[in-house]
This record gives sequence, C-alpha cells and structure tokens, in this order.
Amino acid sequence: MDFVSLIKNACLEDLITKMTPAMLVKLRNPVRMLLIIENMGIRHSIQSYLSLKHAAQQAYNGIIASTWSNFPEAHNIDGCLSFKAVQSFLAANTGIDHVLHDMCPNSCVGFTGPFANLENCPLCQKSRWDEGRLRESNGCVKTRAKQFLTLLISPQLQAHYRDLKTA
Amino acid sequence: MHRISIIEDIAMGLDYLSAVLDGDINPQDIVLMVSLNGAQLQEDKDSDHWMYIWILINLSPDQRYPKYNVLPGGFIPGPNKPKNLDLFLVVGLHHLAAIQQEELKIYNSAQGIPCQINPYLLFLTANGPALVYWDGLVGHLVLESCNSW
Repeated sequence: MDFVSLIKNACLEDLITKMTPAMLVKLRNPVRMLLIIENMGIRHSIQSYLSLKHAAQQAYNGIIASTWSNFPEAHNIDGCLSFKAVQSFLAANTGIDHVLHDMCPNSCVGFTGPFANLENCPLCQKSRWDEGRLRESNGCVKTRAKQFLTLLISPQLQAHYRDLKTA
Repeated sequence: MHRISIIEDIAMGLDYLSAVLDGDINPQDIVLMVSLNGAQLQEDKDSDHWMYIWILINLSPDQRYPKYNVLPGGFIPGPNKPKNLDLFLVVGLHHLAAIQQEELKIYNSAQGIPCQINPYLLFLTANGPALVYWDGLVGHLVLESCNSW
C-alpha cells in the first residue's frame, strides 16, 4: 500500500528518484535543436566508442592512443576523448541521466521508498555499507556495498523526439 | 456473412482502443510497454542480472523492437534474485508517474515544434517467472505475458 500512495502522489521533486535540481531544470526545458557535432575528433571518438561497444575498454583506449600518436598534427585531434570523457560527453549532450540507489548486498531489497533510511536489510540483516571498511574504521567510513541503476525514461523520450530519424 | 477480423497488433486490441475511446490516450501521447527479464551475463559464472526495458507502442510493429527504439529502464545486479522487486522498480515507475502528473515537455524536431505529451503505460510484461512481480504492483493496469504477443 505504501507503494500505491507513493506512485499516486508522485511528483518530480520527490526524493525517491534522487533527481538533482540541475536535472529537473534540464527535464523541464528540453533542448530545442538537433545535436550537430562538427569537431571531427569528437566524432571519431563517438564512432569508435559505438563500434567497440562489445569490446573491452582497453580496445577503445588503444585506438584513441594510436590516433593521438600517429596523427598528432591532425585537424581537431584535441577532440579525441578518453573513455570516460566520451561517456560523459554523450551523457551531457543527449541529456540522458541515470540515478543510482543503494541496495542490499544480497539483492533482497533496494533502499528506496519506505526503506530509504534503513541501515540494514530488513530481510537478511546485512548492512547497506561495506562491512569490512565499516569495521576497520569503527563505523566511521561508510562506503556503499552495492547499488542498482535506473535510467530515467523522460530524458530518453526527449532525446528520441529530438532526433530526426526517430522523432 | 460477417467475418471476425484477426487481431494483428496491439492497436487493434480492446485494451488500447478502449483507452483511446475513454480519452485516456490522445493523438500526441506516447504509449509505453514495460518488460522485465533476468539474464545471465557470463556463461560460466554466477552472473545473473535483472533488467527492464520500455517499448514504444506508438511505433509501427516493424519499428518497435530494433535496438535503437527500445529504451533501457534499469539494471539490478545479482547474482541473487531480488526478493522484493517493487523496491527496485519503484524508482523508474515513480518517475513515470511524476511525468504523467506534470506532462512532459518535448521538442519534436520532425515538426520543429515544442509540445507536451503524456506517457501512457499500456502493458506490464515479463517472461513467465518474472511476471508475478508485476501482479498487484499497479492495480488498475492490464497484465499480459510477452509470450502472448
């Protein structure tokens, strides 16, 4: 029943989805133009990233390192991005956000909604924090034991309509 | 003699049509289906993983299921089975409920105009064992197994 009332009275500001104010502003004011990237280095990075989606991160880093060392004078070479940088470039430019929430290390429950403030899993009693580090530091250092990821639907819908091919 | 027409798509079904007739779905709205499944990521390793996806029913059936039109919803790491899946799914569903309340602003580049849309969740789906998780989660919605499509 907790869930029914949670969903019934849902509003974007609710803490349950953990959206930041910046994310809300972005969501309510969608970008009103096509995404056009002119920098060839960035385009090379994105194309390599998408082609290597089934390969290890090392493969991507190797190709970018090879581009850097073999074409140091190339136009827009500074646009060749590292793995993390190309990911955050894509996230920032498509506007697609994800949120992370703590969960029980045994996957019993997620610490969301009515359980958001619990320290231990109500089913298996395991701590939500990394127990080794918690013990080492006498309960001072609280690192998350495990988190699950939710990709919010609305920025994805906005991105979908923003592109000419999928609008 | 009258023939009974064959139902070929979701848009011919009463679940969809009655929602349109009732005025719950307007022409500019997005109709969604959510599907949940578990998967083992690595062959020789205990690497179960749960995920759910959003499918856009607005698209024609041949356009509905290519990868670029299927939107990922969320990932729940294993290897254990989630005991209370509601607590994981509530984040994504709560967000959907919130944009249903508020209406979602969208810029449609094909028409070159900004518009407001209301996402409508038509079906909750899952494969056999995962289906029980949806049951009773959001009471007024229809429940269908993906095996029936």
